[in-house]
Amino acid sequence: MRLLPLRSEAERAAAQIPDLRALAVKTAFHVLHGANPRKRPGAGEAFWQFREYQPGDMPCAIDWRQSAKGDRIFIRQKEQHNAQSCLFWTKRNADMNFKSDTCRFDKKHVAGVLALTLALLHSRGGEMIGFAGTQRPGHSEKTLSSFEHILMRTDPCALPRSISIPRHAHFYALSDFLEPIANIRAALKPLAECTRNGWMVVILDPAELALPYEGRIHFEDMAGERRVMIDNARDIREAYQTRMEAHLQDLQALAAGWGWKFIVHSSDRLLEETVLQIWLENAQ
Amino acid sequence: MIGGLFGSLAFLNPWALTALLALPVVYILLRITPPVPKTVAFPAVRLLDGLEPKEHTPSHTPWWILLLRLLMAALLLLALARPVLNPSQSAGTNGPLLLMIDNGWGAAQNWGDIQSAAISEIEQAGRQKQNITILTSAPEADTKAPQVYGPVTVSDALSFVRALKPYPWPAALGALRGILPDLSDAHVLWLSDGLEKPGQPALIRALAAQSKNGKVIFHVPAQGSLPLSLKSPEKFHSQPSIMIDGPHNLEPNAPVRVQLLSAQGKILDDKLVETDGQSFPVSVSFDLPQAQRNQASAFRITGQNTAAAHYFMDASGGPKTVAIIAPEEAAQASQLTEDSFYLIKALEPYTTLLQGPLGEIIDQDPSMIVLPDIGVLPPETLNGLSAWVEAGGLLLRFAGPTMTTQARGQDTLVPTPLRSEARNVKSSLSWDKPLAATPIAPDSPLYGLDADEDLRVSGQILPEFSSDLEDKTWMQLEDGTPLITAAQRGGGLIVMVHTTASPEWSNLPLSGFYVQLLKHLLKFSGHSGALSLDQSGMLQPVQMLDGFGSLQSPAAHVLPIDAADFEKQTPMPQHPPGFYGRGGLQKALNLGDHLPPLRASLGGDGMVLKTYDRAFEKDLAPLLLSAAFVLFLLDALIMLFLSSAKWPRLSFKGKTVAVLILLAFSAPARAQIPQESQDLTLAYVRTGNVSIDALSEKGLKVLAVALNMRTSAEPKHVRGVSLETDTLVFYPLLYWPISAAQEPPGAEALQNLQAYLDHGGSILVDTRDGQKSSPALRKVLSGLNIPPLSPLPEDHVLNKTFYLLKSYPGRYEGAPLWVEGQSAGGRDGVSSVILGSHDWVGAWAELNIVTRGGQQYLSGMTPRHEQSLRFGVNLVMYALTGNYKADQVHVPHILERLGRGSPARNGRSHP
Repeated sequence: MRLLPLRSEAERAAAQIPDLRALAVKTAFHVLHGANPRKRPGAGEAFWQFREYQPGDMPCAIDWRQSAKGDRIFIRQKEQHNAQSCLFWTKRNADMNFKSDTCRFDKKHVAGVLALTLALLHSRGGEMIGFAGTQRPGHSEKTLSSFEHILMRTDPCALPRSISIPRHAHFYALSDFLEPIANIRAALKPLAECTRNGWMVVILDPAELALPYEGRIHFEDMAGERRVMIDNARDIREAYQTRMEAHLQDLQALAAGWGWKFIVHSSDRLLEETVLQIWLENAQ
Repeated sequence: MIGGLFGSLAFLNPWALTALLALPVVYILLRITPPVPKTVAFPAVRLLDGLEPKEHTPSHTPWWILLLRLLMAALLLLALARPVLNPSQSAGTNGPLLLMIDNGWGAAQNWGDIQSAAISEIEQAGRQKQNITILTSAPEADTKAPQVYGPVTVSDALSFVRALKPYPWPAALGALRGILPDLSDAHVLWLSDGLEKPGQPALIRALAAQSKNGKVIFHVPAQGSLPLSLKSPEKFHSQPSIMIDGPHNLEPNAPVRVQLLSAQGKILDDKLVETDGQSFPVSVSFDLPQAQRNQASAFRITGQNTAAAHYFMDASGGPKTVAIIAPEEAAQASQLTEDSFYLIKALEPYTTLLQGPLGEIIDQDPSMIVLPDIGVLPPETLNGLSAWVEAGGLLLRFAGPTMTTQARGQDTLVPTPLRSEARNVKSSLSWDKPLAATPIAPDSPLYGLDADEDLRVSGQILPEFSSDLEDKTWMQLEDGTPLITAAQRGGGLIVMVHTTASPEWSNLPLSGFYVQLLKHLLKFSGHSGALSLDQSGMLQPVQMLDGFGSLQSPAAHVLPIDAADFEKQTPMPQHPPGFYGRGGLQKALNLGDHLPPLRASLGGDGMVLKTYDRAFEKDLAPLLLSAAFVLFLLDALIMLFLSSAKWPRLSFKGKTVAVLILLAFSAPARAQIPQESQDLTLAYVRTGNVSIDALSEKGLKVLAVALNMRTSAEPKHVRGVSLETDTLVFYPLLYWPISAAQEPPGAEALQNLQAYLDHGGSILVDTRDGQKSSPALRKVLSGLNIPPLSPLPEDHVLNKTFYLLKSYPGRYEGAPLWVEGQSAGGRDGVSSVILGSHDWVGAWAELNIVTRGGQQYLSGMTPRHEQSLRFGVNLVMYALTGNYKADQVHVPHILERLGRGSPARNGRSHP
């Protein structure tokens, strides 16, 4: 039923990923612990190196044991660890309310569940998650539930606007990306400059992919503004599908250009498959 | 014309049928018209922009919509072609229409056919745009001549024909000849009742001269539905009998059913008369027992609706009972010399004779008491008889030898004081011959009877001369002495015939006049109050027959008939058939008696005979148009469904509304409505004790009679209810007699009673013992939830709901009456329980109900009974109207009635 809260669906979906623990073990302990070693001295926890004291360093960082072993004074340096952030952005305007007859859920719901599932997985892996531009990334349950609320809200913006994300954070953009390529490029470019760990997840309804209509139809968009009158929908089906393919390929090229990853999820497809696919690619 | 299963079909605009050729074109057009496009919300509209389908052939309209639309177009075109079912034969005849409609008495038999034929002919003439002239055959009430209406247009003619009604008198065709319109080349139709009338051939010739082909189309009904009439039998029968008259020139073949009715319309007897092998008129007589014979008042042929098919006998209002007081036992009554014998023989066919002692006879209230030759009566008999006469009875006395020899001066029951000796001309010493009677004067109430010319009176008791003897004389002998005198006594009448009831002193009892006289005198009976001895001999119209034989009150144009001319009067507009008379005496003027022998119209010169056929022209165009409209609505509905991409889902509200509409059309089960809910019923609680229950019933019945007489609350029934089983809700007031021996009511009874009281019922509890308090009460009322009771205050509204009361006596007096305290909210301060111990039903039941003349009265009233009845009336009004009389608006009037009103208000009347 479409009335299940996002969270329980997401939990269910997340639990379906069988290789989570195996992956987690495989991707080494820093995934589980959420620390990303930076291989340079920084403000982390694990020991990195001893360095000779120089004027300007903090006296409390002196490691007296090591210093006592010789005559020089050494400072204990720790590794720089950055807690990884994962930021999400979903399109939440009227377009996403579309649902064709064969689907149980509309695109917004699918995007929401997908985002929340990924957020859960990341959060279990120790990373901080948040909604880009709206929420400070965090670990806690409170963060997750406000994340869920944000996902369910409506926002007339079709594309992310003036959003800043931490450098090298994971970023997921979930939308149907039906806007012109130029607009999408302009909107996502600043984000692409911040991080290369981006995902463009295109969520489309099977009707939008296949155009299964017949006869004379007035097509109008969800806000009721644009209208196109098609005399024979069956005839233009192929032409439309070609156009859609072309558009998706453009999007893929765009993503590849920035080093981002790309996936198309049709809303009648099993959620778990897409999540698994994303996760596996993340692990590589 | 197309013959078919239901009758032939014709098209008035056949050229419109050529438009049906256009139907295939319509089909093609519909097929190529693209269907209405659906609307789909689709976010990826931008990608669809600019895409052009290669082939523009639209998807097709579904075939069944095409069929629907074609059918609609076909129906429309057919309707334009004006199809007509069963067109009349002369479709296409031109010329103005001259329609002669028979609306005499005979037309009532087939009036439906005549009217439908007229309407269809007029409509057809209207379609051909012709003028219409209508002639009627019976004289109108005001102009005394038949109507000529026209030339007019269709709508006027139609409204005229629809308003026409048959008249209960014969047609007057002669008067029509002079006022015929002058038309030429007209289409002449005569819608007749099937009987020949005087002047008919001449009129037909005149009409045929104006017609197009020299013929008049003459419609007659089928032979089995020709009108018949009833007339009085030629010979005198002792049984009710009548003669059926029909067309003499036809062989009767159908049986005729004749009914005998009482004055109230009840069928006393009916007989099926086989007419095969007989010729009209046919005589019928009914064999009935005496009691029913007296009730016979009218004859009727079933299946005939005309005025002549009803025959009424002279009305004298109700069955007559006559008592003959004989001085000795009735054993000698069969002797030919006995007065009673002749009286019995004369009165027996019309009346019921009573016998017995005078006291019993007076109790039975006969219409007339006859005293043949009785001189002196015992005093109490005399008193009883006087009382009865003064109360409105009719006393007929005959003179005789006994009257002369008895003591005089004691007999006051005579119209005028009498002389002691009788005058007797039979003795050999007299020179006078027996006297004949003079004809009855017009101002005598006996006017209308013809005295026999052979009537000879040889013995007579003369009255003392007095100044008012002239006024009291109803019939005189040739020497001026009265034969019959009469005078009013109180409310009644004493009539005296100054000769004997036997042939001893005259041959009056041997003549037919004797019978007629007695019959006539009976009509004065039952006439208490003003006896209208109308000084003129005119019989006023009382009830008239209309064209279809039903009785109605007379219209303004009806004039009275002179009593002497009554027998010869033919029914006509000023004197329609019906009842004429005054008071208790009503003579019937019957149409059948004054008709010439009936003959059927069987054709003649210038006539083309046709029978009325039931199937008339029916225009189908409106039917087809409405069918096309229904299809159009259906099409619109379908378009509505198809234009949305999916089925419009009915919301929950819509489904509820649909279910409610369906439920509304299901026939509701009607609950059985008991009689009590329709009429006001007084109820008493059955205690199980037979005598108490009988007393309650009688007491409440007396109260009901009092209420019926005095107030507008008219209880129709009195009913005993059981607290456990009956529904109490129908009774506004419940009377409950409680005795010490009674068991307290059970749980169910208490529950019922509580519900009754809670919902506005009133109950009068009566312990019937005159005590102030009683343990029985406590036992019985302990289970009820009622507020505390207090004695009735003086200004309580119960004292002023109808009468202004100060005391409420039943059989006992003086004990207090308990009602709920003033603080009782709930029912607007009306007390639901009224408690007393006065035994009201005992007091009420002491009165008797007497039925007289259909009305019920109470007898045996004393002031105490009156007071107790007043209390009862007040109580019922209280139960029905509640606190109405406590309203301040009544106070001035109540004060006025109490005699304390201000002088300024004296001229005012009560509300």
